[in-house]
Amino acid sequence: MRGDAVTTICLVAVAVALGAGQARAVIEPAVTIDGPSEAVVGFGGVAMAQDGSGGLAYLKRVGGVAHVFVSRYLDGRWLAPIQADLGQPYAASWPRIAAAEGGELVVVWATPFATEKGKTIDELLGATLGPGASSFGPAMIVDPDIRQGIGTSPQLAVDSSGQGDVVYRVVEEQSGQTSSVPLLRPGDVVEQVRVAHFDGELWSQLGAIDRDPGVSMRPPSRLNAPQIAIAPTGNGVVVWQEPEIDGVARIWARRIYGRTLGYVMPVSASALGGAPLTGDDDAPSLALSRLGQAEVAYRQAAGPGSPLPGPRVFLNTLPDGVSHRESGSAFQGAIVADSAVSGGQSAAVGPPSVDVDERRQVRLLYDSNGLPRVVEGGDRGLTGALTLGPDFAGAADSSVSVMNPNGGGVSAWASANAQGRPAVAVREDFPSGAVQTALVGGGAGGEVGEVSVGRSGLGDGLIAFEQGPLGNAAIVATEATAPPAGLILSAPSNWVRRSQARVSWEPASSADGPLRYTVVLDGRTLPTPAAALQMRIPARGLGDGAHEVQLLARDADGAATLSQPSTLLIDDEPPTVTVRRARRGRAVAVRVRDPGSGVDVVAVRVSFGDGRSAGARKRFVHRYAHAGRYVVLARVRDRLGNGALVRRVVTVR
Amino acid sequence: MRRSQSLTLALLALLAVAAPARADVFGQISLASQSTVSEGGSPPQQADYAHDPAISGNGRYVAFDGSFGGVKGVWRRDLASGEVLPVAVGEAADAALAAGDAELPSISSDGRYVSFTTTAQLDPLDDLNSSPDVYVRDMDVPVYPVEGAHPCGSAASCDTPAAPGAFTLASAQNGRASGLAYAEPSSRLYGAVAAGRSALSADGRKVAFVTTAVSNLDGEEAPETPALQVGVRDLDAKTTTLASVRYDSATGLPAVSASGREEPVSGSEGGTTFGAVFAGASPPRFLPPTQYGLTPTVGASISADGSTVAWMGQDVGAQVRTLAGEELRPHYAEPLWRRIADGPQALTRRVSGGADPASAACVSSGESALTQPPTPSDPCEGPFVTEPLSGIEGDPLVDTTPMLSANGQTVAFLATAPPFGEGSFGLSVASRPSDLYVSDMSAALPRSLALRPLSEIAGADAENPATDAAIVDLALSPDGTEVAFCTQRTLFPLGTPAYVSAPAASVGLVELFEADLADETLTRVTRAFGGGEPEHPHKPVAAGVVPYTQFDGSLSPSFSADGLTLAFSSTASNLVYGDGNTPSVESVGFDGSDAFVVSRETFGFEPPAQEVSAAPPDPRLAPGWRLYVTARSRRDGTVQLEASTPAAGTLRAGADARMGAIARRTGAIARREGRARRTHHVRRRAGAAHGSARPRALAQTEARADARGLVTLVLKLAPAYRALAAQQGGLSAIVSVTFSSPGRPTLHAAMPVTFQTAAARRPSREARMRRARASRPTRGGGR
Repeated sequence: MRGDAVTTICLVAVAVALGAGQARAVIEPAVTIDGPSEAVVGFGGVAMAQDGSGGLAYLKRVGGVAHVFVSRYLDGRWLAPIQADLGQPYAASWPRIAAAEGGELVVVWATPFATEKGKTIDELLGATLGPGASSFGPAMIVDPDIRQGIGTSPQLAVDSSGQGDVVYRVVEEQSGQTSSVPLLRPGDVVEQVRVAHFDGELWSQLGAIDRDPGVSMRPPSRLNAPQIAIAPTGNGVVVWQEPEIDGVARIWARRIYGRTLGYVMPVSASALGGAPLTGDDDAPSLALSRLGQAEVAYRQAAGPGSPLPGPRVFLNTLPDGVSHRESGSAFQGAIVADSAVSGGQSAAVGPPSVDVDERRQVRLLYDSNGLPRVVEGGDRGLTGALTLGPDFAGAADSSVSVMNPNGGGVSAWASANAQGRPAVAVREDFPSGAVQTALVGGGAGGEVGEVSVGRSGLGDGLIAFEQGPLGNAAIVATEATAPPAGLILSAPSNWVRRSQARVSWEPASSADGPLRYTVVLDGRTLPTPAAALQMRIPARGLGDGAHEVQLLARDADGAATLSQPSTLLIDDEPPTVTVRRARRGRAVAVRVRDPGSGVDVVAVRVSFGDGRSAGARKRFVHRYAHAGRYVVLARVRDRLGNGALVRRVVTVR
Repeated sequence: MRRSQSLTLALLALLAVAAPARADVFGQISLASQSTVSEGGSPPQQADYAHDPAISGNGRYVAFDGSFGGVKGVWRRDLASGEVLPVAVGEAADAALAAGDAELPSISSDGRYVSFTTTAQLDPLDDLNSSPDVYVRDMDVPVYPVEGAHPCGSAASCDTPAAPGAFTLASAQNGRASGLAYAEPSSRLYGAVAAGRSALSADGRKVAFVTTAVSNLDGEEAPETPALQVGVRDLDAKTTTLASVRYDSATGLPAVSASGREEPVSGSEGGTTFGAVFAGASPPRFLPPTQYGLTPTVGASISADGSTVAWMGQDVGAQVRTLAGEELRPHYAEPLWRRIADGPQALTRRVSGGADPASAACVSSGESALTQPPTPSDPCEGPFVTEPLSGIEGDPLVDTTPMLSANGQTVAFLATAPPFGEGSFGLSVASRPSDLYVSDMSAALPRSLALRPLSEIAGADAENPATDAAIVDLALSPDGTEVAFCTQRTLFPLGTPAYVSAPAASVGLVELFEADLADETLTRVTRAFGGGEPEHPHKPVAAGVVPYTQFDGSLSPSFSADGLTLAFSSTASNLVYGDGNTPSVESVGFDGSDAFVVSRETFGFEPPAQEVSAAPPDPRLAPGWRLYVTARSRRDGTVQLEASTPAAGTLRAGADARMGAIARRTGAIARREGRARRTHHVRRRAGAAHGSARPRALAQTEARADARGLVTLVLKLAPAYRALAAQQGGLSAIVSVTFSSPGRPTLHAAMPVTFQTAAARRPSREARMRRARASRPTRGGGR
């Protein structure tokens, strides 16, 4: 472990850096979680919960044996990595992580446990890091036999309570072996796609979920790994690639209701314009809205005679079923997400990454001939595509997208800086229309591997990747936070006196808390108590009239959102009284006005100084019987109780 | 994050100067047995075949035996220049210098000296027989005084020796330059041989060799020293030391003959005389490199510092201390180790074997025989389960020469015996495949604690090479932390070192592996240039049959001094692109083996620059163009205004009141205030008398707002009106405030105020009640 010294120093450096104070940033510079080191030998993805906590998993050799390590992300900081497969003597592989709220993390991995005919047999294990816990619990068996752990590619999803599902592959027979199933294509394998359910404490196997055990599968790769997503309700959706009997690989999906599996639904389009699509579909990407609307993007190859001019990314929607007009049990039909792909058959289209928000807005990112293209849309179809920034670069055309429910989102993809050195390009489109971009990297640089994202569902993304060649690899992570959202400020709807000027607000949605609120009065920030959700507006300068009150919420990284203005009506002055002498004659007109809350007519009483008085009106006309000087006394009050005794001397002739 | 970011960058910058990290990753394999120096525009010439490569400590030179353009012998490749020079080859203008059978080179650290074995009499003045002998070539000395100029003119042959110093006979008599004498001087099969790669000290001045014939190594004139003895030649001192000295159990010291010479090991059983070095049934013959296999040979290793020698010993009981009850037959083999730098009294030690009589615990126990059945609690028990007939190594087909670290303290060796406690899997020692071990020779360590297994068979299926193929060759890095080895095995069940490479899908050629003892990893080094399995053409075989023999593939690994570069040979035809010497499947001439080098990847630490654009600005706080003012009467008769301005600008405030109606009441006060004011009031009073009460400016003030925010102004009554503020009820007025900012509309605000001093304030209701109570007569007092 020659790199240990460097690694240790680096970790210390990162720890010091992470512990330092925070300031204004939205896309954070990437930090190196571990490495660069020969001990870092794999990456298991990154996950994020809605409260902003999360973590990432990777493989690191200890004593030459690869073990699963996890760095937890809590309160905006990456904590020192800890081992997840405690007590496991053999090398771990295929780590994957998911995050629940409160910093809870669930990890699965494969490890050998037996030999059979001279070959090792792997099992799939899982462990949980509870909220507040500092070490993982004991490993639990997810599946005791995943054969040799080839192409397992587990994908894990948990809901906010820590319940979840994992989908994984079990290759039972590889190409070249005597097969019990006719191989549809050369190189095919016999495999099962299995799902196991985690109830928060124990794992239970739901078994194989693929459609037809009698068909062979394409050889496992990263690009045809099954995907799973879970909604806050605990229900999930799983998608996978499986050939039809004619040999063409399609994408299929199933809903998962706790421990119950829904039926198999086709996701892929089998024809376009009446012409069959004969190319394989792969690279499924899955996103699930809070209410259960699933968006599946996948790549469709253009086979011989295909109606497609070249490979394309397709998008299909499984509605949430909330609306009576849409069934939640069938996909709406796959459509070409972005037809503007040049290059015909030779076009290079990368795997897509899709996300959907609670308002059913969709954001899809993919590599279109090296260009990062983002496609956005919603219930009423796709609204357009945009080329984002620097080209894809490197072997891994990996990209991730994050939808911000308030507009915009985060995109990240493997790219290169101006010097041609590998980096990850990150772009955040803000609801305001502003854009921030970054080219980040870590360790000692080098080739970027799989780019993984953990989403809060609020527009924030934890982005992590492995960078550097094997032997000098590092685990690198960055964060792109969405500004706080959902600011609701309540101000009195009617006129109030200065002393009654009080506003209150609801906690804003943010994964990057704690938030700091500031009340803004007429564009002027007011000192606002920390952690307060209500405040009395200071009387200074709070003159009568309609004021504009807003709430500024600032997250831990300094990103701020300003609420829509609310009107605060202040009336702290009594009604005004005007006494006018008529131009001719001995009459005076008394008028009581209040531009604020209005005159409390009942309380108005005017004494004209000649022994006569009147009241309960706003206007008075009084005619004196004799010329002279009279003292008019008006007792007035507005509807808020602001009263006054006004004395006027009039001289009539 | 800017602060933390800069801190991070600073720390990373410090790290950037750290030493580059070495990893268990090897780079692309390159071909060493080819000359890339183009002559007359001719393409690079690849060796017809190359075996037994040895890399110099500085990593610049690789010596190997093989054939270039049909010329056989030992060659040296300069990896920097690409030049290949003959060390000792067959095609010499002088037939006496033709050394086509030269083989098994070792090379000094700087690449200048190369040792090898040949039957050629390269030093005809001293080498008087045609037996194989060990030579050292000084590459700085041309074979002929003027390289290329033949001293015999155009004669095809002459007996002119090479230039002095070009070749030095290493298998020579002690104190003389003349070579060893052998019992059968005309035999070209037996004499003295040196192990490949490990026979030469780093400075190239000490050579370890093994006699394969009866010789006069003991210093006598007549060749009477049994074969298979270990000798060490000091080329500078011209001394030859017998390293394999008989152990005198009576004195506990190396045995010395009556003539004062160290006694060689000489045991016999069944009419067979056994020497010190394990060679199976008989000494191996000196043969040219074997096609697709190892050349049967024996040898001894000398450490780079020249201090230590190791060999696979037989007749162990004659060489080292044993337990009295330890019955070891001459066939019994164990690796033996002797630190010759400690002088003639240095004892030969057992590296690892069936007993450990030299350990302190065993000595103090007083045991004379191992307990039966063997138990690990026996302080004299060795690390291996052995039998009297077979020691820990029973496979004479593999090169059993132990390898030494540069300081001789670490020994790597092969053993077929099972380690104690592992179990034999039902296999006899002779039929078990070789496994790989390292041992620390620190004297304080019991041998069982000093031993570390680096491989272990994964089953007991001798027919399954994936689990049970032998380790057939090995090398130890100079610092003793890395071991390279060659095997067909694909499964390595030991937890440490952990096998961290992707295993081959099926058994193929012998491959090169590297165990890193520092980080406990085991890495597969060889791979095809395209990333697949190493292979070469072979005849069709049935499914499941391995088409290659157990010695076909990668062999002869050697490390550079820094452990970063490995040289090895391989018969694979796809390790590099354009390997052009692969013979056809039908050919029987040679195997197309080549010498290769591969370097461990080293990585710098230069953190990549990151670019993060500016974060979007905060939401703009854009108030309406409005002015808000609050007023507060103060006890000193002034009015304080708080104005909330929308921008920078000028605030002006003024208080007005119609004074006509109240001026008369203020006349007395005005009179008390003097003439000037009285005049003024008279004017106002006059106005009032005419019934024309007009607005009067009571107070004015002005302030500058530097930015959006609150501005405080204080309105102070003009002196003429201050007294009015002291009257009950004070002085009511209307305050008008204007705010002007260049280019923007002027804002106005107005409100009623009262200027009222404390004395003018109406007592509170409570105060009035209190006063009333105080003035009311008490009931008792009324009487």
